[in-house]
Amino acid sequence: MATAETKKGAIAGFNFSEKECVWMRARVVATKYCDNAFDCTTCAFDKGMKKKMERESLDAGWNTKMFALASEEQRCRHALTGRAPRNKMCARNYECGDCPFDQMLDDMIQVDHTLFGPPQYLNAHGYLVPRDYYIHRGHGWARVEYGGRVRIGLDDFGNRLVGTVDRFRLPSLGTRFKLSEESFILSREGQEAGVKAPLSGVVTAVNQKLLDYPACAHDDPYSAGWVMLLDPIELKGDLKELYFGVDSVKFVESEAERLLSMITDDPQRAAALGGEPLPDIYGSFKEIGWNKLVKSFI
Amino acid sequence: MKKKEPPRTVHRPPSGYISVVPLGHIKEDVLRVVADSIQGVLRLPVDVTPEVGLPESAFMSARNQYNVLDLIKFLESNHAGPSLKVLGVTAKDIANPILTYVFGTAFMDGKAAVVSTARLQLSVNGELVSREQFLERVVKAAIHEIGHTFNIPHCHKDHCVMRASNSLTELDEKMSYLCDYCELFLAEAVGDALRTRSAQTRQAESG
Repeated sequence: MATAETKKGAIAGFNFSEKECVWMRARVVATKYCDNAFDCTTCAFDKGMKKKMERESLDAGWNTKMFALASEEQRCRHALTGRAPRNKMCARNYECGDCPFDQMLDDMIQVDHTLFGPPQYLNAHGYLVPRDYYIHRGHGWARVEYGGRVRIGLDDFGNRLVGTVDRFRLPSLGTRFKLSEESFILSREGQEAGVKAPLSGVVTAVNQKLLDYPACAHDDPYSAGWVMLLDPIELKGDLKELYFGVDSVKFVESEAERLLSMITDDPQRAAALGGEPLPDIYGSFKEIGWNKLVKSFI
Repeated sequence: MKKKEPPRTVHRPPSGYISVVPLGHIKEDVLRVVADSIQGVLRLPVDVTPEVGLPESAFMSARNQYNVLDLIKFLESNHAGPSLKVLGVTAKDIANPILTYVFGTAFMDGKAAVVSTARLQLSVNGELVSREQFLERVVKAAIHEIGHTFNIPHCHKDHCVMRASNSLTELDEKMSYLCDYCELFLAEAVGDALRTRSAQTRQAESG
């Protein structure tokens, strides 16, 4: 499933501006794309390269390597990290300390200093689908972060489906989940829904704000409404089971159509233009029933 | 399913904004939960560094405890590195010259903080608490102290993690999240810290 926009076996991380391995960025190797969520600590390639550099007593800094490149390749260091346009050239012999462009960028860094920078959204029949997030068929989302950790939550469709939740039950720190196992529980008016884990892993952080403010998840499902952080067990394998990018959009669109078919007799003919989905679908169509909605979608 | 257990410890200069430094031996799962919970709640990248021995000069033999103020200064002087903040985690009992024990301490707007797990394993009756409760306590203490290093004062709103907790009961009562006000303080403080760091880097680069 997770094929669109990602190379086979690659992991799309959140807020990683480029996919190039750090060794490729430093031009030590010609072509190498990160396939480990920039978690160099567990990367076999990184370990191998470090050993090789030690063995060959190579210790050139990145700027020394830059001077060895042809002049047309002497790009600004920020072009390499994605903070400046790719064709931005260095005009100051990599003396960044005196470069006004460098200083301007450094002054702007606070704009996206946290991992919680707002995601970019795609639109699936009015439901928000974030870029760089993976979506499980049970509407859990997974976002690969710094250090290879994975943040988990419930997507916009799922939140609108269950509407105003009264209570969250979160797993304990250290709990281990398998892919698609029930991971956290939300309840409304005494009825419960268990959300399936988008991937297998060990819980290493939970968002206790949801215990005091359960509406957080509904109001901001992909940022403040995060539920837990997982230390993944089989990251690469599990991500292949999830939707990503355009596939996520197609999946949520198909779910929206399936939902509409529960409400109206002839959904195929209802080609809507524009509009926003209701914030509380269960509350608006209680005749469908909680169990049916939850079983069908979550 | 076989679990590959890669240590989170980095054996290279940390690139995250916060470093968690084990002072003496601390179990890997405790470090992982502390680091990930800080990353999860504060939304800042966190690294765990290799274990560091406690300085003998900080040991108060008359009290069989370590002076937490000395430990903080030790971290600031020797293990600050490029990170914005450093959190020392120790299993040893810690105190300051006035208080008989502390769960943790930080200098407001400082570079380092220290938390101890020594008194977090027992209930008020002296019985062992569950692993879950123990981990939750460590996480709350860790996030609270890191919050102080970003100059966030004690808070009185709901169960905000920045609420003061002088006893285990009070530590158990609060939760591990920042209230909206403290979140705002944090965002501002992180922005300031990054601007200061980039100015210092520029100054160093220009010689």
